[in-house]
Amino acid sequence: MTSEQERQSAAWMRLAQGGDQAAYASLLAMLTSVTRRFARARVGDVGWVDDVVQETLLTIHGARHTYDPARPFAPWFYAIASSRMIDVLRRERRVRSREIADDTLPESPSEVVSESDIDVKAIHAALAALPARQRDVIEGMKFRDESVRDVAGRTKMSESAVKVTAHRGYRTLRRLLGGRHED
Amino acid sequence: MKTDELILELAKSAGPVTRLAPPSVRVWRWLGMAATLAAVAVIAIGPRADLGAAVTRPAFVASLLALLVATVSAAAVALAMSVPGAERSPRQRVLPIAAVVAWALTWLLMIATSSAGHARLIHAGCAIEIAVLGMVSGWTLLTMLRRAAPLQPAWTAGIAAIAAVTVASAATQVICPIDDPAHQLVGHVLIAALVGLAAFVVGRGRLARTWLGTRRP
Repeated sequence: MTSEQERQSAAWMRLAQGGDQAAYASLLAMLTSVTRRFARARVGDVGWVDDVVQETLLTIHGARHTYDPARPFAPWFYAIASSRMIDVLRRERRVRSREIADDTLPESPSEVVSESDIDVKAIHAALAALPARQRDVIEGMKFRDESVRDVAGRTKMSESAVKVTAHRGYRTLRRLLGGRHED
Repeated sequence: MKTDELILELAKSAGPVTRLAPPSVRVWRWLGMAATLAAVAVIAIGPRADLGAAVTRPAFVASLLALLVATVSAAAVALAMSVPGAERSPRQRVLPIAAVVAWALTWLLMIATSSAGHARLIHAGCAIEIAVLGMVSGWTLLTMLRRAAPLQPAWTAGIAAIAAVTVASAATQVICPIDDPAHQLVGHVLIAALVGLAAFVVGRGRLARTWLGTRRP
């Protein structure tokens, strides 16, 4: 982050804390590219860099009231970006280790199953790998036919939070199930 | 969801927020609450009858000082950790841990050098005081931490647990008339460790649920 970006970020964040949505959108757009560069410089051009970016943006959103305009913006921002990058890295390692373990499972011919069985098992395994809140939201909406409002009421989350959580869950599921990653 | 869509979603849901007070202000608020709670407990139950004489004994003073250093430093570190980028250095976490170790070592040393028999290891009153005062002060601190953004739930909860149980132990030490080092070690230090462990487990869980990918607009 350049000094000009830091000055601009602090100004936008001050406005965003007052409820200026345009300034907030500009801030998040700028921090997207900063976070992407930050993550790529540390872990390379891996597929989950965008996960780091989105996790960072979500955390900034939830933590924006903790930014003190009297203090520099960069340490506040990089503390969040570093923390989220480590979290995503850990999650990726966990997912990868599960995938490797799954590869060693089918042994005897009696365990040979149909294509549809494999899919169901894979879906259940992928669901089990999700964070509890994401799994709860997806199971509610897809298995129990709950609406976004139903899930929001049950989990005490806002409706937009339910949508964001569900989207993040779907994205992780797609990756776990071998689909293409968006964005 | 693409990042551009996420930005629009977040911006759309972003209303004005009330800025969190700086960690230094929040530390004083919590210390004020904890000191008031401890003072009320000491006044309500009554301080030990020989408090004037006790404060002239090195072990009593060393133990109380270690507890106060642990309380103040742990609260300061935990509340700083709850604001991204506010913790000056992770090395600051050493002070509250070292103070707790010094507290335990004070009584271990007294046991090693004392020839007296050990009559009463655990007293229910001390255990209840440590547990209740620790839970109330710990819950207050946890509430303050959850209002911020603790990115390291385990560390933050652990350090906060130290703050809660040490202020409770300091109040209990002023109340408890039993000078036996074995009682202090088992009836105070060990009980505080158990209460602290419970506070850590509960606190880590609550902070993690709040901040590891579940709090949303």
